[in-house]
Amino acid sequence: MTSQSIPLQPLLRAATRSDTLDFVLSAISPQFSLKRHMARLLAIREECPGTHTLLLQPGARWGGFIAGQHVGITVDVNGVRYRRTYSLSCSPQYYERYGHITLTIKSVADGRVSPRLAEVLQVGSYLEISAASGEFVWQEDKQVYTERTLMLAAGSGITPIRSLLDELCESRPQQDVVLLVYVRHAGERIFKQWLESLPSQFSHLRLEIRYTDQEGEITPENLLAACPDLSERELFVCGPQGFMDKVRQYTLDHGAQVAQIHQESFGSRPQRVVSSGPATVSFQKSGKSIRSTDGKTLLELAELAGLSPKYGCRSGICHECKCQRGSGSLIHAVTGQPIPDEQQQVQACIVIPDGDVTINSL
Amino acid sequence: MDMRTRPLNLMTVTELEAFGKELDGIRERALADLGDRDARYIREMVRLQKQAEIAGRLLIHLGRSPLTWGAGVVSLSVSKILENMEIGHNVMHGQYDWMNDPSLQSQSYEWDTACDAESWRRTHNYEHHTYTNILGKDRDYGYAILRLSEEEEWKPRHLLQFGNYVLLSVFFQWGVALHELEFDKLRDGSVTLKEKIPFLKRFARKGLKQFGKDYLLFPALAGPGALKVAAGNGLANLGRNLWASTIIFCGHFTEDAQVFTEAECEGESRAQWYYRQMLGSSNFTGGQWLHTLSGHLSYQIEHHLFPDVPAHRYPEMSVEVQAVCEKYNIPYNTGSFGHQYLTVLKRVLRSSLPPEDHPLRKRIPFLRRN
Ligand SMILES: Cc1cc2nc3c(=O)[nH]c(=O)nc-3n(C[C@H](O)[C@H](O)[C@H](O)COP(=O)(O)OP(=O)(O)OC[C@H]3O[C@@H](n4cnc5c(N)ncnc54)[C@H](O)[C@@H]3O)c2cc1C
Ligand code: FES
Repeated sequence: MTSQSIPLQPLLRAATRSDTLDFVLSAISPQFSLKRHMARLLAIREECPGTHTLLLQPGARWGGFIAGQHVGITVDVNGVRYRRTYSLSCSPQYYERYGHITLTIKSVADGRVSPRLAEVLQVGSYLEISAASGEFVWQEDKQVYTERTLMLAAGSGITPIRSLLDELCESRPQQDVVLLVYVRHAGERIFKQWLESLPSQFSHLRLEIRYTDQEGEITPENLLAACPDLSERELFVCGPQGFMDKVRQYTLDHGAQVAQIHQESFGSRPQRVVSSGPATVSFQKSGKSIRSTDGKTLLELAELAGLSPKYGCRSGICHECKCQRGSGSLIHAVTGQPIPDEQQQVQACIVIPDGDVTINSL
Repeated sequence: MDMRTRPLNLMTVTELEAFGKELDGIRERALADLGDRDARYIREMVRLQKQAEIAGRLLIHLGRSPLTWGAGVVSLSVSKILENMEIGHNVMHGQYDWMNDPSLQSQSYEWDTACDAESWRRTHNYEHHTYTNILGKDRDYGYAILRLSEEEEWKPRHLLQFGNYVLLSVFFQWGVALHELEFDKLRDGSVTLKEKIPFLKRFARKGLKQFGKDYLLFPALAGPGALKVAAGNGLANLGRNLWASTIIFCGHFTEDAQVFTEAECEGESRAQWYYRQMLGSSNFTGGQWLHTLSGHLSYQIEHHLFPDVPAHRYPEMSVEVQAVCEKYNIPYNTGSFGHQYLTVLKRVLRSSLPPEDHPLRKRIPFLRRN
């Protein structure tokens, strides 16, 4: 056989998909994996009580990032695999120089992952990370606004802002920047030293730190007092949803345009819909939906909606009826217990919707 | 003891309800305790299995002496057994779905055997586990080839069923792969071949893939050593086939494992389902290696009560299950591996003979003695 007649391409493709090959490569070094990006955890630093920075070294195949973007990390907590998204809190220049990246993570009260990270992650171990993505970045193409910037950060929302400012300080240290940082009290201040050093790195930077426990939440008046020309600036806002909603409202009221405002949402506490009367179950794949009534199971509802989902025993034994939940709460028909939120694959024959639910796979 | 069905419900309604609640309790306690321990266990099994597979294939390919080749065959066979029984079978039951690990999800897992995973989930997880040992509904009962109970009509072809049993064991992966074809129903015309075309397509796709891997791709990679590799892979598959068949037969076809009629099980409650699973299954005892290599089907009773609880927990759950059995005076069918298997062989042989009142019995002197 000549080398030309060997179907190299398909063989190579099959090889990169092979679990066994990936197993061998990962055994040599986790970073040789062709299927996953594994980052080595070099250190965990405490920024302030409850907030930690992870110093990570991604593998050579990881594609880098743009300032302000985020990555997904995969973490196992007590055997359950979670994927969570975190903004990079360093600049791309830092990554180029040292080959390291940082993520800064604040513990969310009763969170499943963030409060346990420092305990479950071992320095020296490897962590799966995704490629970076996100739109909370410098808008180079829209020259009009880039001359002056207003940045508002609340709580852990400072993370992408740090990345953006670290980059800016290398490329345009003469930029006119107003940075307003909102934290509850001094004990929750993240990046204390960095904040202190900022004014010396920019020629036109104004920094204000507001302690909301003493000064109260953001208001239109104190926002305008801190930055009277906000409608002429490009805005970067990151913080809890409620904070961002307020900032958006106040700045639009003061003449800012929608295109000027860039926001990064870290998610929020979901309002659990207490089922008062019938709720709707939407089946994404088929586009059908149905009102859920009197304790009918998801399987029965899907059938009533005119679908014919796969099933077997209809009593929770065989798992043939597994379907993928998009969102919403479900309860177990036999035990009455809620199905944990992270469980996406659910047995349609033994769960009952509790409020609005979307199912992706039907 | 005879192999007839025995009355199912010897308990009062209240007793039955309390019995069901106790088993629900064992289940709930195990589920509430799932965590790192289970994740570590199954990942360790995956790691062991992969190592055994790689070592096995390397030894078969590169070994210079029959001894290394033989070691390779054993290692590859063990890897296939681990993958099919402790990993694949259990993962496809949904035992590890709670981990959210895409490589261990019941509905997308595909295993290293001729049987298409989708087909397996339907015939095994649903049909066999729901209708366990119900004559005419559980098609795993004798695989529509063997007569295993006196409730079933005897036919002269059953005289030779021991040979069929051996053949089934030798080609077990293909027997399992073709299970959904329902050959018996095709023969009596209750299903048509046309209805089976989608299944046959899946069967062909998976079967070819498995055949191609062990008998074309890997041998081709060995160049001049192709024959040696194909033979080694064949032997490894044979070892797995015999092992899997033996383990599975010990689970439901031991002497005291009961069968049931459809009428008995109509409208059955969850507690009654538990009860039937207990009477229809049998365990065997042995060392840790035996439990692991059987995918913990050595705890078949616990597996049938709690099919979606991680199997490595069955040993600890069995302590509680046995206590419940004792309390409600329910037989707990267990014994050494050798003993249980002997009773299987006896049952296969004995059921091959015509029933006592059959005219043949009187005519053939050899049978009269029985
Ligand atoms: C694009 C993006 C970037 C992010 N960057 C960062 C970052 O740089 N640093 C950081 O600390 N976090 C960041 N997050 C938030 C992070 O992904 C997790 O949501 C957070 O760590 C909580 O996870 P958990 O598992 O601990 O909580 P969960 O167990 O998921 O949630 C527990 C409870 O907290 C609520 N909750 C979840 N997230 C939040 C939140 N952000 N604020 C308030 N309540 C919440 C939940 O609704 C739930 O009620 C980012 C999120 C997104 C989408
Ligand atoms: S149909 Fe069997 S578990 Fe739902």
